[in-house]
Amino acid sequence: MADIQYSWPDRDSSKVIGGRQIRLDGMAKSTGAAKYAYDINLKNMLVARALGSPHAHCTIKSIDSAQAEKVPGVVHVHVLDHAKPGREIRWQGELLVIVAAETEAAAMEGVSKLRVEYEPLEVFVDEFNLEAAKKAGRTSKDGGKVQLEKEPGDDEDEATFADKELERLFKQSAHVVEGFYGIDAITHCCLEPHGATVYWDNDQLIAYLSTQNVSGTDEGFANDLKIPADKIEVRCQYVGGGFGSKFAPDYWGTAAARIAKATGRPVKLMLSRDQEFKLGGNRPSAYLKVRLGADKDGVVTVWDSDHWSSPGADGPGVPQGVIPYVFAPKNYRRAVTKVTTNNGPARAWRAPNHPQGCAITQTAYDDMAARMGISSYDLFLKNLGTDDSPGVAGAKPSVYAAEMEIAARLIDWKAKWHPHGKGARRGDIVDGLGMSLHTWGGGGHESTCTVKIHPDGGVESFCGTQDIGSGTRTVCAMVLAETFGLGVDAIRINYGSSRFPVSGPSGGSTTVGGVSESHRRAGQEALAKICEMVAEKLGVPAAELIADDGRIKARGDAKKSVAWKEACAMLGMKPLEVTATFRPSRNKSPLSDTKVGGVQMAHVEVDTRTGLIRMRKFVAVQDMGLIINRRLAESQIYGAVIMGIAYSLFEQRISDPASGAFLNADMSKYNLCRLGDIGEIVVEMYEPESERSRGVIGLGEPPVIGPGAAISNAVCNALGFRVPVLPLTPQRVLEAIKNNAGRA
Amino acid sequence: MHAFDYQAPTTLREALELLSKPQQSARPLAGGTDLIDQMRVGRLTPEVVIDIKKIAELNALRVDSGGLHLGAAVPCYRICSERAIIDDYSALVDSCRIIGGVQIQSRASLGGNLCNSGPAGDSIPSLIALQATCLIAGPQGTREVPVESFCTGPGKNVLRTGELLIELRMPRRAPHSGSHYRRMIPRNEMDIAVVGVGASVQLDATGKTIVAARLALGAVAPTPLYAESASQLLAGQPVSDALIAKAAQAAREIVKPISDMRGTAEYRVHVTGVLVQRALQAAIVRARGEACDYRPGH
Amino acid sequence: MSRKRVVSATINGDLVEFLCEPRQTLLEVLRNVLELTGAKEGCSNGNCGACTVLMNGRPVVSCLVLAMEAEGAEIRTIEGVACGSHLDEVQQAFLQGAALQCGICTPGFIMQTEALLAENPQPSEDEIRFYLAGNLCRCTGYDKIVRAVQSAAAQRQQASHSTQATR
Repeated sequence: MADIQYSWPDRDSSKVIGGRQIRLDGMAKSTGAAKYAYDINLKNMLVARALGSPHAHCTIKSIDSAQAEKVPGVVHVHVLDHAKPGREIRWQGELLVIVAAETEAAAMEGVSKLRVEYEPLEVFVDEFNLEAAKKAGRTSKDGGKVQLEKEPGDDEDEATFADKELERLFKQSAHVVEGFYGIDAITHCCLEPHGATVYWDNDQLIAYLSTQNVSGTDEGFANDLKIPADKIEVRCQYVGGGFGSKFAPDYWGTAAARIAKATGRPVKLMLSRDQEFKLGGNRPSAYLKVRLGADKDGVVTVWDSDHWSSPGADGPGVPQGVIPYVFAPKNYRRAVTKVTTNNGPARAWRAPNHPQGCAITQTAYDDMAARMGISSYDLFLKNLGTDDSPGVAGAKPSVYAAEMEIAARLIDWKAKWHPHGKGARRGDIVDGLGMSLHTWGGGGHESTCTVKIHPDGGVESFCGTQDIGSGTRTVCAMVLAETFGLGVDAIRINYGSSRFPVSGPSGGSTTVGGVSESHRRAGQEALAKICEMVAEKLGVPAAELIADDGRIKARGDAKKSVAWKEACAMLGMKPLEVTATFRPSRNKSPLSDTKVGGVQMAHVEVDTRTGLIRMRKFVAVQDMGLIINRRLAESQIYGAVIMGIAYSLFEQRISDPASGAFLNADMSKYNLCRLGDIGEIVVEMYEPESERSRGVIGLGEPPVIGPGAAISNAVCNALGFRVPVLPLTPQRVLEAIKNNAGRA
Repeated sequence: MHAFDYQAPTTLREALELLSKPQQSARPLAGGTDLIDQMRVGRLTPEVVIDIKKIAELNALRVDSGGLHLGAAVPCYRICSERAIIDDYSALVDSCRIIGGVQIQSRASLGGNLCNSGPAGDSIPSLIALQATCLIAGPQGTREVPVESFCTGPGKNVLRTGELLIELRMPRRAPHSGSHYRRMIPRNEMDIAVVGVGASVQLDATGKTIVAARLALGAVAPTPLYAESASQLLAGQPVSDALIAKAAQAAREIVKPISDMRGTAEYRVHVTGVLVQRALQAAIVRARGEACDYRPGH
Repeated sequence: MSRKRVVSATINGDLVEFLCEPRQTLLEVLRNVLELTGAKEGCSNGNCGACTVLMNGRPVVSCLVLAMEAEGAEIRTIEGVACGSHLDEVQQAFLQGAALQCGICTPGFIMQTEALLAENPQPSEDEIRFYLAGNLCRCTGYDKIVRAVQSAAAQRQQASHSTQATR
């Protein structure tokens, strides 16, 4: 058999790919039939609830569970290892003891009867205050980088040279801006909290886990429980939000398994909303001081920044690599300080580090435009450079330029833009426009898929992937439907079990690339085998056969064909099974690629007397290579934009500096966007042949990156000065207005 | 949630008997939107929860020559759909439309909002502006308390053990009257007020002079406040921007807000002034019988 | 533990009797006793709307209703909206309009939309945004939800016209 050339059909001959197929899980989701981990109720099941530490920093002195055990309905009390007397607890909410009971109410009552003695320790959570952090011994150097066009002489000290050279470059600059920018920490706030429903079938553990990582979490259970991974099956059909926070079983997942083992009964353990806020993950804060210089055209030629970032108690902060974001000035120095606090540890949050990098640096570029009295559009355009000599480290300058033109048309930039702070006033209201650029890799992850073709024509696939809402199931079915010339309904997609062939975790926008690769490859290989059989019958070379419209046909000779079912019947009694794997490598795959670029623009209005900001319009123009399902791709962008509006205007984790308590760990105080807060959103896909021909690239992360800078820039355009730190709460806006009195 | 008993009496007498049983903490349940949450987090642990929704008096809603009679358990949505209230007691409708979302309004009552006695309770400034009186029943019979004296501190009020709030009464509205409630919140909906202002004005027949006014402020002191001096300086004065600004200044002078995560004291004082102006302007527009373009959150 | 009591209510058209404690919420009973897990628990304090059901025709957050209060009530949950595999106009519009992603908020949004359209068959866009403001979504983007509600309203309007026309 000849080697198979993996490929996608071109735009005109695609029947399914690029279409607007309705999502296949929509029926289950819109009728309430879809079962998420926390919907799984098993016979004889115990419900578990946990006690979290009320202190942000303490040691455990003693734990007394006697009263809890006496609560009617309480069956088992489990003290976590890290909560044993003498152990140090470093953030509020850390689970200490789990109570399993016949009902949720009894479990909660049991938790309320636990008696724990704590020895409080010194707390630090004021990550915004670098001086205080230094004083508390909570800072550490976290890397940095210097790049200068000019090299130091042999006898020169590098650091001294950099100081001098930067000074020289700033003196040479036609325009210099100094600024401070920041973005507070936020949480993931998944509507379905972290947790699992588990049971043991003899020595086999079955875990219904709310996870973004079906194929990878069985190992997590195995390592922690010290049992072979082949005794574990992780199942997950539906996930109510993850955003980067659900890659592991977590210690509460394995604790549920332990309790199930000890009691011989199924156990459901989900975090409470309060615990979800405190433990379920958060995105590091970042605050930056910068000086940047530009030439007379506004091209930034020198950048000197120092930023600090806090991931909470553990984890990486925002690194120097995203500073400045997308733009790549020829000379720069960027230093990073990490601040460690008594907040829960950070977890990957949709496009890790990019939203912060974008928000704290493209605002500085916008301030340069304001300083020069020119439009940010013109300044951003000048800084793109050309495809041959790019001024950006992301997508191609020509892609950004084309997207900027589209976005500007959609938001009516030319008519609506005014110089910063010089717009018309309507009573107390001023309005403004802002923009931002972003980039993301989004190359497919490793994925293996088994395609099974039954002699009766039935087609199914098996893949250990998951559908976190982005539409994996629908995408897989569309890829196979296109490949076999069948309708989407004719394909059965099996996913969501760690027993299926391994596929990567859904993080970093890698899923659609990965599963479309593995499904297309397995599909094309299976089709080749079917074609070989049909070739003999029709007397046409296999290479000349195509699958189309439910038939295997000779290319260009419609009379020579057999129906799909008839072709499959030639398999005899046994189904055909083909397994294919995609492994990302340096060699470009014909089916997928990495790196996209997008442009976003915001139009806002500001009430100058209350500080309230209202979204009028938001435009997102996005490149994503080849689009498989337009309808679902759009949804990803809309969803990313509302998350972006939320962290730009409302969302922040608020900690009490004295006690370290997470003060707004409650949906009534942690402000996500609601329907009335988002204004008009316009989504435009950028899919010219030059980009489509690159193949599939993931889309989940990119559109969430830009709203912070775009909205902050729009507010700056409205007011004429910067509100430096996101979220742009009314109070911060009013403070900025006060601090800039006389300028407004 | 802790264990408790649940009773659903159908008469006022039964309810009062249950409430005054000795050695038993009891809590009335109307809409439950505050109570159930407070029990869930362990802030309240009554031994018996008395569902008062089946008692006829507490569900009464009527407007007659004496004014508006509002049973303490009447849910917000019923108040919003009553024509006579929409026309004459607009501030009340403004409040009821923004207490929580629509789901909350299906259940939450003004009696509950008042008895919860939160400094930021959205209905209380409107009730004060509309001169409401609380009718309270108890073991010693009934008594009346002006609504501005009902709350005594955050979560605290004048109700004694065994007493139940039965009804809120508001006097008949004079001709050329208008009222409005608005609040400052970061989002369009579903936030707790950072500042809330209720305003009621009565104009003369020309619509140019204020005959009487009542201003009330929420979330700027331990209890919602009746801004008496600000209200009185408006009476008898021709409507002007300067007059409204003066009232706003007088209101700012009586507030004693705290600084918390929703706003600093300084911010709240500033916003009090802004909202008093805006609320008064809207109330005046309504008093003139003109359409007020107020949309909640805008 | 306080006394358990039998509560009888009409749920999705069927008279149902269930045993519960006073401290159990309607949401807890729906999900854990009656196996109606379509109503989701998002925040447990009435702020996310994921547990929205209709109680005597009104939308309520079932996390803030005691199960005992359901005595004699008529409850409708997401499970009672479709007729077998035949989706109603609202579900159909959410599906066609891609107004759902992870799906966890969807049952609540659909129930709230049912309540809206029963009360106001032709809502303006502003009215839709206002009426659904008690429902939180973390990933769909809202915009498509607004379009879906508009489309469901139009579908229903059309259906009622054509029924009248054939009469």
